[in-house]
Amino acid sequence: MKHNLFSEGKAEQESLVVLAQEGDRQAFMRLFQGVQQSLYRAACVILQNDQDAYDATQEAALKAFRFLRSLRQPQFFKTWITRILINECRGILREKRKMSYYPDMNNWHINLREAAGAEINVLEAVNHLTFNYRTVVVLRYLDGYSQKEIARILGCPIGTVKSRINLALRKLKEGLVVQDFPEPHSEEGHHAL
Amino acid sequence: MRCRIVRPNLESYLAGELPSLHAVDLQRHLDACPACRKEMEVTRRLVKGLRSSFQDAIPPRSLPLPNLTVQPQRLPWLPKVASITVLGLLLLGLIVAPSIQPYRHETPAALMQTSPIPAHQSQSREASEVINRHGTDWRISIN
Ligand SMILES: [Zn+2]
Repeated sequence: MKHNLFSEGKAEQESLVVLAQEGDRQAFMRLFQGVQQSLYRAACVILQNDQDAYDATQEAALKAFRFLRSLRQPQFFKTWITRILINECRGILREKRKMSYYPDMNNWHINLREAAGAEINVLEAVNHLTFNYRTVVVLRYLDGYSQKEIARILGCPIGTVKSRINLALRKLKEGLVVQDFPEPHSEEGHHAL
Repeated sequence: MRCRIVRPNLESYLAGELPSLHAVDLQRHLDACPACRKEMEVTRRLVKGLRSSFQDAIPPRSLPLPNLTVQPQRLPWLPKVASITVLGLLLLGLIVAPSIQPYRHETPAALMQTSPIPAHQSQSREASEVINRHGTDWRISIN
């Protein structure tokens, strides 16, 4: 049901990890090709800038190759390298000191607008979320990770992942109330979340 | 099951990540509660909107493969040193513990409370946390 890079040729992927750990660059490249688009797309949404996303993805590849021997369970290669990517994104944002700022409309937004048409409202709402919430939303709905996988990527308990997802969705619902969701609040006095 | 229990579980329910027993309870609640049904519908539409927006918005782009100018690093020596230290501490504990006990032998209850073994165990737990921090994940810790 869930998107999983290693659902096919799992054993082969794991042996590629072992080869790459011994310094086999070809093996690493094959592994990386399997996750590159996913990493880049996630970084695009998190960083809201395609050049930064490209840099983060390249840097994640270098770090992953360099420290691959610290990955003790080859089956977790994708979640492991995604964790490295998220750290890169965090570092880039921290450097630019725009962790909690609403980002400028840059080229990437314009590209998004052209590509997405009416859907842009949802993405703009995502852009308003702060780093932690934007990250769980991206991992959950762009990559389709389970709560357990997200917990592994972020290194936090599943309960934290679940509450971040719920809070992010609540913020998005509030932001999208007018355009997309008529009467989202119950009239019976129930307090959602 | 009450609304305030149901609401935080709606997203997991929609994703099929609730244990089946809870899912049955939740479905029973939804059948009886229009407010939660409405909230679930809003959540379902939002999740669907997010998925399709992400899919449509960022078209795959051909990206050059990275130039791997680095070599894979050998595992750091710290975990080995730390695990040897832990073993040493445990051994030391086993040797020293019997020699401490005679001073506390008056009441068995007092012995249980002040036995030196838990102290050494907690020491080793701390030490193994050090290993974890400096083993698998130390280079990529998030916080
Ligand atoms: Zn209810």
